[in-house]
Amino acid sequence: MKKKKLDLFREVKNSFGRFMAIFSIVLIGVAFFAGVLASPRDMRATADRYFDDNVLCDIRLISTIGFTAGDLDAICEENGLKGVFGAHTLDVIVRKESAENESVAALTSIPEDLSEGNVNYLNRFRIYDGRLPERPDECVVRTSMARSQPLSLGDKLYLSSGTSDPLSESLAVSELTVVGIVYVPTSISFGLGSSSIGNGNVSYLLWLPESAFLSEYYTNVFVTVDGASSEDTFTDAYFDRVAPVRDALEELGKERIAARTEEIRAEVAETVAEEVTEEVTDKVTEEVEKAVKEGIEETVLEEVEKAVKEGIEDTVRTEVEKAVREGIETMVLDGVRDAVREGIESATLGAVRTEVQKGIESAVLSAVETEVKKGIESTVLAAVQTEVKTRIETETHAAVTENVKAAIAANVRDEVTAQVTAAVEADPMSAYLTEEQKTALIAAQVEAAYPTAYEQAEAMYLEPQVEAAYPAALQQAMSLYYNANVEAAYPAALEQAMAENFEKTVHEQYPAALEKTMAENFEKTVSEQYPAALEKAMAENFEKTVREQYPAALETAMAENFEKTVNEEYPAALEKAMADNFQKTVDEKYPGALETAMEENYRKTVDEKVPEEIEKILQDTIDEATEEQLETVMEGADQWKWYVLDRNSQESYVQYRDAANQMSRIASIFPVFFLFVAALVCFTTMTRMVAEQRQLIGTYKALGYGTYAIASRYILYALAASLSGGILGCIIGMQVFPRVIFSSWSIAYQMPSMVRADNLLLCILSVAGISSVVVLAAFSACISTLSEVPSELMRPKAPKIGRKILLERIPFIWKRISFTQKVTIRNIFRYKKRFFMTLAGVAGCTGLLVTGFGISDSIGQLIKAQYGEIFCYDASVTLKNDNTAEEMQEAYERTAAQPEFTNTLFVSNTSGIVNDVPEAESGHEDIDVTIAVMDEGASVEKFFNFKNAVGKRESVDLTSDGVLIAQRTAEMMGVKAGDRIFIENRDGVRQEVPVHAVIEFYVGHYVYMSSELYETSFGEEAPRNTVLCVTDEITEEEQNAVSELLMDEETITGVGFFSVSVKTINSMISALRIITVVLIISSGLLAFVVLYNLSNVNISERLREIATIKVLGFYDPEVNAYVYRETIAITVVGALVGIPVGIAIHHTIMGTIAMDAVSFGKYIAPISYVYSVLLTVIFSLIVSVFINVKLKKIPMVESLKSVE
Amino acid sequence: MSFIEFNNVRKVYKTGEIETVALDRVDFSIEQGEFVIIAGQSGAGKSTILNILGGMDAPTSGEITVDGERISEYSAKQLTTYRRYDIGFVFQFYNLVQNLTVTENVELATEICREPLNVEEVIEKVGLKERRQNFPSQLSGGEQQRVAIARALAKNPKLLLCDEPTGALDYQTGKQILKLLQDTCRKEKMTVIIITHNLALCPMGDKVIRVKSGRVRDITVNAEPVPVESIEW
Repeated sequence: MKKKKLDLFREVKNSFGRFMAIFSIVLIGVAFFAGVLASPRDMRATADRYFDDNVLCDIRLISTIGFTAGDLDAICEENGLKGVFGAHTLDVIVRKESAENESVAALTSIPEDLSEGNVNYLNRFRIYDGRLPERPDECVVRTSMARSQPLSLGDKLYLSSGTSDPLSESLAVSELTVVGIVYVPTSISFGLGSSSIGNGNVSYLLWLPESAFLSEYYTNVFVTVDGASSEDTFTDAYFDRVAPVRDALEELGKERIAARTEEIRAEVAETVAEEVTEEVTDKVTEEVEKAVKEGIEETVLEEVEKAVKEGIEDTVRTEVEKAVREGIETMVLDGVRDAVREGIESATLGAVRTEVQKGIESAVLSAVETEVKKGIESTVLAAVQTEVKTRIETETHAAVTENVKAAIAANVRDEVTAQVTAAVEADPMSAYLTEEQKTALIAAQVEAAYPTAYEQAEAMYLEPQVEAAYPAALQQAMSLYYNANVEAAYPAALEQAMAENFEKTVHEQYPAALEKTMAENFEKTVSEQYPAALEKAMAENFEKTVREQYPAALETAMAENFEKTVNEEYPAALEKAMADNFQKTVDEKYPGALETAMEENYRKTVDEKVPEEIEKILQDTIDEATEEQLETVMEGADQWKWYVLDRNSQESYVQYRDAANQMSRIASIFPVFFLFVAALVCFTTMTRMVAEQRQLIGTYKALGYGTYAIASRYILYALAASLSGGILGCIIGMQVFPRVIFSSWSIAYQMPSMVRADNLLLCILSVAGISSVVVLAAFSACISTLSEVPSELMRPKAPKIGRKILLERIPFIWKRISFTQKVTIRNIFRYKKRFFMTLAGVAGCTGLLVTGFGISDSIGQLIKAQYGEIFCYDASVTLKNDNTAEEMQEAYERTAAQPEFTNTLFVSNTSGIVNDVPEAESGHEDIDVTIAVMDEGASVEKFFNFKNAVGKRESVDLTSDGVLIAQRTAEMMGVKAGDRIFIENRDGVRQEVPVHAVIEFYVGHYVYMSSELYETSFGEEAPRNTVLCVTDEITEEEQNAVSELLMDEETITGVGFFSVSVKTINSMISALRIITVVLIISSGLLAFVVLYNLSNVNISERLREIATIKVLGFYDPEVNAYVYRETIAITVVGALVGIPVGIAIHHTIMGTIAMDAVSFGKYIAPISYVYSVLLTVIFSLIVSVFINVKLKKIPMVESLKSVE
Repeated sequence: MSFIEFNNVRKVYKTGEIETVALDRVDFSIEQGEFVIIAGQSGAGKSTILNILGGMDAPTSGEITVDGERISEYSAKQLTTYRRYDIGFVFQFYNLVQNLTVTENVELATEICREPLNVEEVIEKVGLKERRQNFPSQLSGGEQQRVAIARALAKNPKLLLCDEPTGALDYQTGKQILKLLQDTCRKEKMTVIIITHNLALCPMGDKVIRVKSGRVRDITVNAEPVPVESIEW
């Protein structure tokens, strides 16, 4: 054994080149295989560690309506949670202190307590520079993926809301100072997201303390699950941990949303109820007041009218009745009266006549008697009176003469006195007398004069004066004494006269008197007495009689005539009365009545009715208004939900995982290919080794070693080479590839320094794998040789005989080929095995290069094709979904009016679902797509360039025959043109439509439909909400200007220029380009190893020949050419063969790394083939340099050696 | 001055620390058109002489002139040119390219010559006209050696170096080959040097150089070389 070991070492030493060949191919193979396989593992390990260390939330909850503190508490109470943090987020417009232009920043709150021990401090920062914010006006910004940081420490940012609402409503600060630049596990890739404000693209991610936010609602809740961090986040175990919590939170979300919905309903109901009650009260009061007033007015009017009418009717009737009655009464009365009167008259006349006769008779008698008496009396009286008068006259005359004489005496005295006095006075002498002297003088004179005066006076005056005084005195005496004297004398005189004359005279006088009187007076008296008697009789009896007779008569008359007459007369009378009085009376009475009625009833009725009425409608109105209000407030309430997103829904995580998975997939294709080539190379090498050592094997065999003992020599050799190469390959591969790949992904993802996964098993497996392949190759190489008998083995193996090749049989061609070319061609065909090996290696190399370039091309073409060819438009303007149709149209016109947009198309872009079966089922999952609907016609061509994804890729038109679907979408469903698919629009209506064509499409799942088809399928017009715009070449500033201008519109939510999308996608997939580099390097190595190795084999096989031609005087280049020309030829052939190989690999790779919505095209640029072939040839030439060295070293003496 | 001159040629092979003196103070000269036999036992140094003379190796010291050219001073490239135009090699094991036909094997040499002979004629001359389209493996050893000779001759070299040309051949065939070589020498005035361990061949050379242990033991000039036919071994 020791010998054998020694032998092995010696063998290795002797054939170091060969050993190295196996060693190096294994090394490269393993390094590549293990290294590339380890890369995604390390990527994942790094991410897992990073996520754990920085407490990346396991679950992110987003609520469409925000989280209340109550929601947060409820979340905290869920089991299995470790940390919970409710975050506020807000997009704002920021402007740097020094700069003019504005950008959009996404703000997120961070907990106040940023200590390590705070379990609720999630998504922790990794500080790049500076520190974490401590005050509300401080913030940290995420590091930029760009080379230079756009924000630096100390920068001041001025914020504005970017909407019509002032910033101060949502944020307590308006200025921020950047105090730190950080990495954050929630956002590790390029995409900073989009926003509904500014130009629509978020430029900065900023974090600031919670206290800066004013909203009471949290937009996000981040949660860590207890124990989840101990699991690898990329494993099912992790998700198994998270799933129950996620489910629980989803349940909770449903509850909370339900509760919240109720809450909001209640709130709305309350507010609405309040508002509505007030409103309704006002309205109802007004209405009721009006109604009541009108009612009262109406009623009153009616009543008044009725009353008036009735009054008039009554009056009229009464009047008519009265009149009739009176008429009747009058008539009856008159009749009665007449009758009565007549009765009375005749009765009276009779009575009167009798009476009168009696009367006349008695009267006459009494008159006579009286006459007689009177005559007597007057005779008596006259006699008495004459006697009395004569006596009185005599006495009176006497008395008057006496008195006159006295009066004359007095008067004469006085007159004499007066005359004396006057004479005295007139005498001047009297003045000297005293009064007494005077008086005495006077008196003396008077006495003296008197008797004469008297006599004079008596003669003169007595007669006249008696005459004058007599009548009066007589009259006086007569009045005093006449009657008394008469009366005193009369009775006796009378009685005497009576007794003497009376009876006698009466008897004598009466008959004549009577006759005379009768004749004279009867008729006259009757006539005279009748009226009076009648009157008296009438007075006495008429009324009474009438009264007695009247009622009966009236009754009869009334019964006969009353009703009839009344009815005859009433209507006309009423009409007249109505015409005359009704309106007037009503108008007169109404105001008063109304006033009264109002006073009496209005308030009362209103007060009574208003609550009634309110009650009647209030609830309904409230319900209705609430419903209406709720409709607005709760719009999309059925869409209200908590999105409970585990890491599968976190962009950073998913992108990174996909990146790692893509690496995995690539790792699973290329290294296998490498291993295959390595196995081939080893096989060739070992075969050659065994072939070279035929004799040695023979010797061993002859010496009695067993087959396996001998084989073990080669197996050990192979094992030594492959193990050492494999182990070294692992060591190198583990260091190089993960680091290179990781650092290349670092361009796209912000990760801390790499954390190595436990790759020991991987190493062991890959080393063991390749070693076993190599050993197997060695074994199979020597097993055929070993089966030969020793004696045969001792003899040299018959050299491969030369043979004419097919080409030689075509002299036409063969003759034209130069000699050396002939040799080459002959050689190529002679060593077929080696030829194919080389071919495989070279083809592999070219294939890898084609693939590498192809990936790059496909990615580049993806963007170019999608945004340059398929989408002919340059920007799309998204309109607000809840715009009204008019607003949509207006927004469209506003957009179309932008001078930057040379052409616009108004389309409908809505989200929907497609499937190839009516209901989603396993293997036929629903695919979320964008349903784009537009009018078919020529204008579509200006915006889209639809081409068949398969076949000749000819253009297809959008028609109403069927939909056009993106190739990736079609691929996922497994449908092709002519099939039928089911499309569900955003309203959840699912319809079957035919597929017109599958179109070339790269980014996103899309279904294109003509408006007509949509309408016929869904029975409604597709809601147009997107404007596609074509621009001329415009700068980014101009784009931003247009964006901002349009984003100011309330009705526009987004303006996207493809240049921005292209940039993002470019950066996202730029990391994939590193694969190209890796592939180029790998394929170079592959080419090198294969070519070098096989050339070595070639050389060793043809050592003699080479030595010979050297001896023949071939210059070194000629020797090289002689040997290497074949290799070059094979290289060229291999390279050409490699092209289809590369296309195949490229296809496979593109198929495997396809992301869900991104379809990498299978496009390889023609120049890439040229590059691939050229690079292969260059690799080959590089190998030739090494081979040259080797050839140069071949001693010519070899030619002299005997054939072994 | 002779056509070929070896003056005090010394060749030392160094293998690690060990120095092996292959040639030591070798002096001889060969005239143009001579048929020379260099004979010696295995390891005597005859192959080294062949190598050095054939331009495959350079002496450690000493001077070698061929046709007035000091090839001992030649660079590797000059040596190649020397081999290319001046030397024709005939190997013990023919060293034909198995993958080439007779004609092609000859052409392989003529391709690189300045004034090659007519390939067809040469082949005819070596008596392989009929087999010129055959591959080496279809030929007998002698025939193969003829091809090798034809290949060497076709180059129209100044010097034909033959390394044990009969070593792998049977007696008769060997004789025929030697005959061919001798005839060529005589007819074409070609300088032919045959290296052999077979001393029996010595009589047929114009000059016989015996080497032993890296030194020239003696040089015999045969005034009357024996024709090949009369040589037996």
